[in-house]
Amino acid sequence: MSTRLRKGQAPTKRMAHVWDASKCIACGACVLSCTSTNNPDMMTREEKGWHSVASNIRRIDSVTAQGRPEVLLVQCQHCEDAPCLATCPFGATYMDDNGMIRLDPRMCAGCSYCVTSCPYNVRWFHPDSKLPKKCMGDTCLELVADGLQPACVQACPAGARDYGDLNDPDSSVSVTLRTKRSRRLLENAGTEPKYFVVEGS
Amino acid sequence: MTKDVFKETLSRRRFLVGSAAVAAGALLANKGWVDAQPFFTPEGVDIEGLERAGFLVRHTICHQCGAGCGLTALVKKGAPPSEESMLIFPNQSPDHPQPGMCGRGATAPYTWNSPLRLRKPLKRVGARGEGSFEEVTWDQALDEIGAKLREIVERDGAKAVAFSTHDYANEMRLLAWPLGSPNVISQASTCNTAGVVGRRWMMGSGFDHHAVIDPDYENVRYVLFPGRSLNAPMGAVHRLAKAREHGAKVVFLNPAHPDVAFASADWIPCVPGTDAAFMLGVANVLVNEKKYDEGFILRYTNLPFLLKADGKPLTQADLQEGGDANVFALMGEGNEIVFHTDDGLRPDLTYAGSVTLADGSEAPVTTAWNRLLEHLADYTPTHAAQIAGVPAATITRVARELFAMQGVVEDTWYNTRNGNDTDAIMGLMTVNALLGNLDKPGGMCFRPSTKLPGMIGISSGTVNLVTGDSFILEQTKRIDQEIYPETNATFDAVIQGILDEEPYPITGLFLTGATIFHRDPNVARAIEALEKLDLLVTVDVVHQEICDWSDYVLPAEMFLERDHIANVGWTQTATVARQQKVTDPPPGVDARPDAWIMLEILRRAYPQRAAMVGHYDWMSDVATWKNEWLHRVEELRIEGLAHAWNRDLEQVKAEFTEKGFITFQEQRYGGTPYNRAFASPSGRLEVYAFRPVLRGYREHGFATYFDPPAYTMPRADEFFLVNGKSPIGGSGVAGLAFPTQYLVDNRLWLNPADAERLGIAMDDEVEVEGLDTGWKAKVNVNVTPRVIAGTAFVYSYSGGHRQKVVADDPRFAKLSKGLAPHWFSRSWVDPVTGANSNNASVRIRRA
Ligand code: SF4
Ligand code: SF4
Ligand code: SF4
Ligand code: SF4
Repeated sequence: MSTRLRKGQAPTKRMAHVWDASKCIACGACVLSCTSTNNPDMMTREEKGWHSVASNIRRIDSVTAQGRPEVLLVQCQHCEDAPCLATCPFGATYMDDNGMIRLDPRMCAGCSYCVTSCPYNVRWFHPDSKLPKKCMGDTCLELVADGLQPACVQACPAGARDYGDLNDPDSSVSVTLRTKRSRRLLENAGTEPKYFVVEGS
Repeated sequence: MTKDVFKETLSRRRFLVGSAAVAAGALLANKGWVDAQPFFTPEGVDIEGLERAGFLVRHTICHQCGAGCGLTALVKKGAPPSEESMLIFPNQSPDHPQPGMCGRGATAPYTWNSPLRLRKPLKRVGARGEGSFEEVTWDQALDEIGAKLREIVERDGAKAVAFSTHDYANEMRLLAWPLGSPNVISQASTCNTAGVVGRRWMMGSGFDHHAVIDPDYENVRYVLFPGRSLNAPMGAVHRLAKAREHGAKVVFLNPAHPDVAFASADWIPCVPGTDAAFMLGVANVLVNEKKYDEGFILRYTNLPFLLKADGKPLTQADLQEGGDANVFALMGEGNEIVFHTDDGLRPDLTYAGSVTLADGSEAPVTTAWNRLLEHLADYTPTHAAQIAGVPAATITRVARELFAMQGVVEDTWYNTRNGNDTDAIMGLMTVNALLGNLDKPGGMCFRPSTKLPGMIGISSGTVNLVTGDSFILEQTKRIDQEIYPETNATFDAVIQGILDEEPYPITGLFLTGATIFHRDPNVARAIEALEKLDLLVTVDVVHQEICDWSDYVLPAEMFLERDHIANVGWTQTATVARQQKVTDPPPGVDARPDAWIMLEILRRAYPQRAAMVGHYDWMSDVATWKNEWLHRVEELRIEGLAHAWNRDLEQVKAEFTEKGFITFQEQRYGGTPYNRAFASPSGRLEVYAFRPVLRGYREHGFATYFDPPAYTMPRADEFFLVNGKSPIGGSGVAGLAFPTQYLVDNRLWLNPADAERLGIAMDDEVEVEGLDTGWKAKVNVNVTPRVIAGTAFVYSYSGGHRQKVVADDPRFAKLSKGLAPHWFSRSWVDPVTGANSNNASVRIRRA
């Protein structure tokens, strides 16, 4: 398991999620695998805040300025300057050595500051534990701990998802980001998100 | 723009409550998957190592829809069955031709332990449709069903009992055929009938199934999908993604924007039921601009064949006393008649003139090609575009791109919607014939046989089981075949049999995985029929609306609980996959295998007939039956398979366990039609279909556009109502999965232009009224450019679920909202093809 970074410390790896919007067929496999892998107890319980399924991934339908239908998948961006981390009064939200923003449930008071401060609105409350939830889920952390891909990446039938280290120039995510056009969400919010939306080559 | 929408959505902050509860120390227990990881290596999965570490790897075939993608599950050994003791993911072998999974596949664990899962056999206690049941034992249910069945068979004859299913026809045949009923009739007529008939008319039997001919996805350069959303199978999506990496262009022609089109594909919105016009417009451009493969046309199509003035082909019998009527004439070099069975043909494509017939008279003849040019003259891009509601330039562009990029037009799957769809398939195959891009890399290619023996089959009236059991079925013609000569399955014939007792009465009905209310058109009429039945038995995994109308409801095993072996479809390799049991049913669910259910009903009604298929009273215990009957059947099938491919049986079994599938033959190009003839009368790709002409169904053999006969054409401010599938909830079982209500929009889609004119805003409630059925329903509207103006769209299966258990369970509240398109369609049936339709026309007003 990866260690918790102290203030000012830089992570060894900068693990990032890449979602290729030009390949995504909006099939929802990632959204659902995320729940059944990480929060199987929520499989038939509504996430009351979003009135949706309790997944760490949310689907947002929209239309581009040109009138083209568009779908957006949003999840924790593992921000390098994460407002959720900055606002947590109890030090429960932290960045680990992989650059992942994580939660230490033992220190969390359930105060919800992190939930309200996240500009991406990706945190939700588990109705029983009353703890905030988001990507990465516990089981996904286990999956990646030994080099496997997280559930959403494995689930995707279109090869639209990837997870890897930005610090490694040879990682598949680095290669993708070098060779394809991509953007980050709410770029101007100053959060330095590590979730990349590929827009095609 | 995107960012604004995004911000807006994000800014709808929820009100946070109850967050004061401190959960110190609530560290979630390690879920214990980490120990499994060392056994997953780039070289493969170490199954034995995993076993030692306490994990089982189970390969299976997804059945959340009918596509059968490859899934793999990792299961904790010895753990009680629960969602927490299994992880399901797509089969990870890079050479699996059809790896899963989509959102429906990912809902499998939700279905498995759904609150809507059928748990015990149910016996109806209230009125039909009321949804009041008592739980009964399997013994009681099966005994009572057996007794009632006997009563019906003795009174009305075995054929009065009908059976319908989507995926379990062979299982149902285990009851139907020994009983003496031929009437196992699938959902085809509201799904694939039009395509099957169209392909049969042009290529012959054996080339008609929708999975037999498909684009070579991985290598396509350009693919046009008319009316197909490609929501399944996921292997096709996966392979198409690879082609896209190499620059392939993907185009959807559809009244509504398919989800798959989000992946940087082009979408051409068109008016429903106009695909034939679009395709003929494309063909018009191809012939006028001479963008076709003349060599292919001459050698492999019947366009050089001579036609008489009456539209029938000129045959040897016309020309010679005692000549063969199945041998067709062409004009050879030097103005000499030649026959299609001759060697080294060099026919004249453009001959027109007259020939002397056997009786000495002169008859004018012309080639089918000449007739095609005349026929296509009606379909100028401008005219075709007017019909299809697309710009004429789009038709011209698509034709040019198809030719320039050596593209293909996909031949569709679920295509039977408007009553004129057979011609749409014929139209698209006409375009493919002109392009000549068959069985080549990136072309339309053919699936080889896997040689996997079926469990049960019939040939010339003799039923044969893989076990060697065999008996005669006296009547093999189904009730739908008595009415519709070309049908592959028209369930409406069963409804007619119940209501009109014509051609004979149907009084008993068995359904397996058949959600009549979300499958068949004209729900009001279906209800009338259901009410009249003497016996209605439904076997299913979850509590569908049809259950509320059934006398008995029997819980079936779901795919995660089954062992089976099956062909992998929609691939041009010969691949067979193994379905291994992943888990037992969840606690409290007493589900049984479909085959066992059928056999036990048979045994309880007629023990001696059960013996005909090798089922005896000592097999009434499910575990014993699985060890004896089922095990033997599956072993024999694997043995037959290994033998057919000359492979070592033990090796084959080991490979199935390890990988979950075996590819016995890789994709090969250059087969049909180059080295193997089509099964059409001429052995060629019949752009001019002889079969319907020779049988008197049609005046000529070309695809033609005519207005959809299946519904009243909508006029101003009336709408076409069309439906389509979502890869999240678009199937009978997945439609009832808990997350479907959140992830699949069950509002009615209206184009912004229509909404504005009618004064309808986003999420407004409207009343929808069927022009043909008069059915009225209220639904909320999604105003979206994802549907063409003049048309309303809903996802099928995602709304209008009216069963009592859904209404009673607040968790599923949203599933009862929305509407089922089947309420509005009137069930028009084509008298020849038996094609039915679920599209409709409606009036829409603000509620
Ligand atoms: S996306 Fe939200 S929850 Fe995730 S790191 Fe950024 S601020 Fe925190
Ligand atoms: S990495 Fe895991 S937790 Fe994060 S979105 Fe993917 S599936 Fe969900
Ligand atoms: S699984 Fe892949 S294709 Fe499906 S919604 Fe997620 S990212 Fe898109
Ligand atoms: S398309 Fe989806 S639901 Fe259908 S078999 Fe494949 S994974 Fe399962």
